[in-house]
Amino acid sequence: MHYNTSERITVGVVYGDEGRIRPEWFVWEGREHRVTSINHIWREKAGREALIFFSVSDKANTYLLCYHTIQLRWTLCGVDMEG
Amino acid sequence: MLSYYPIAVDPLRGRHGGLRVSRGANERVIMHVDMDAFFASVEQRVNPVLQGKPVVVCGSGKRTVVAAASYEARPSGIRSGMPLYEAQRRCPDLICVTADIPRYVDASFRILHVLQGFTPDVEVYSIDEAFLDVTGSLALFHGAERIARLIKEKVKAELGLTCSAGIAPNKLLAKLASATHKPDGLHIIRSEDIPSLLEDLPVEEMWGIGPRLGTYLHEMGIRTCGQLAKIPARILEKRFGIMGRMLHRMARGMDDTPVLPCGTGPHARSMGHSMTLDQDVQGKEEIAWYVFLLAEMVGRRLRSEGYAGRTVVLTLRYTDFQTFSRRMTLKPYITTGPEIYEVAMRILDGIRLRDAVRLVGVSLANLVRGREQIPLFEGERKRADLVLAVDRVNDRYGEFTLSWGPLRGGRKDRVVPPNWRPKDGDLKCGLP
Repeated sequence: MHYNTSERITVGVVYGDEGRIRPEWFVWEGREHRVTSINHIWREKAGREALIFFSVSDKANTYLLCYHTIQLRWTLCGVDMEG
Repeated sequence: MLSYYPIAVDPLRGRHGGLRVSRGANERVIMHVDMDAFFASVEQRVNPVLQGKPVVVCGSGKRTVVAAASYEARPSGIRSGMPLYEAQRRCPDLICVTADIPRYVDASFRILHVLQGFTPDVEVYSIDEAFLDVTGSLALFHGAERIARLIKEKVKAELGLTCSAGIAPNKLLAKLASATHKPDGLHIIRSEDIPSLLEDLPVEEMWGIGPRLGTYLHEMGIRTCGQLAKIPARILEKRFGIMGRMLHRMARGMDDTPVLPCGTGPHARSMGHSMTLDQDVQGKEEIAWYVFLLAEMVGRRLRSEGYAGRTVVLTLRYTDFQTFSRRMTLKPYITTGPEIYEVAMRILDGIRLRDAVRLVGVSLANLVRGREQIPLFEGERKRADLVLAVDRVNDRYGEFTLSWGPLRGGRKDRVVPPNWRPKDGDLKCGLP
């Protein structure tokens, strides 16, 4: 089951030495979700701002996280739940 | 699983120790890289739940068609271009995902970046296909086959996607080779294999021979490239004009067209957009709204790439799929949506519709670069300034942030035109 959302969330990120960023965990609905895999990353432009999308999974579900490179904030854009 | 023809060892380059395609002194080595079920594979990466399941990527409209089908969906006979309802009838378990074009464009740039690591001579043929002239890179990477393997490994490692590669002395045969073992294939066509390969090859399998041309050839009793090669060029020319000469060469596996790296290709000759409507539309007033939307999309694309044009083409498709185009050529070059719309509406006013319309298309032809009419009068200057201001707002905040009143609530979804190519500025984009 998939649903779209647009919620500001807190994300723990590792800034790698090659300038790459990697979300490690995020807090959603009062619970910390540890990222077990990053499935796909892509970049989109929204006017002047670049948005970087991360499809990530925890032990149960797949989530779509978005990093807004000018506003320096994270949003949860969608959740795919198995079943 | 990789599969390929055995290849000869080139003794002149033996010190590198690698297998390589043997070739004549002046022979080019061309590679065609074709992503496997590109859109569907990207969606399966984005959402791992979709992996191993029959998936199609389609548009968001009610009467959309399949843009790409995963390999799991293909045994049911599902192919690109098939109406979605037909695909769902053939495979009741089919999972339909609405196309997300920015995901595919981004993946395409990253693939292009991988390819350009092996040769600067990379021609982007479409969003999921490219030709590489690797002639000058053979010594550096120890042969064409190794280049293909490295490309496949790198694309898999960086994007998790598979591609098929074809290696041959020209683009025509490289394209044929990449399609031979899909998915995740690697196939090499050597010069000495060409006559035997083409002898029994059905003409429709050759790149550039579509269903219609194939039918004409069948009517002439020609079913294979071997049979086509035996027809004298003058007879083919008499029947098909310039195309006849090309067919004569194609049947022999001959093609001299160069690989045109990004930014060096010929200028666009026309630009256009079309859309299948959610429901059939009878009245011209309703059609006019779609014409305006398409005209605005065309104008925006024209201006962003620095083009102006003076032939407006309006295309309509009736419910029975009869499709026709009408065109009108102006003296001045135009660039804006309202200008294109005005001419398209003059064309529409001259058409007596015999039925409801299911598809509308607007394009601008006779294109030139940097020939925009300089506004002379106050009113024209104000309109030009307004268009410039709207473009700036949309550049900064996104497409259709600001648009013309009648288009309020217009579609914002993007499409990939068949002639999609990266723009110079786009090539600078990269991931964090």
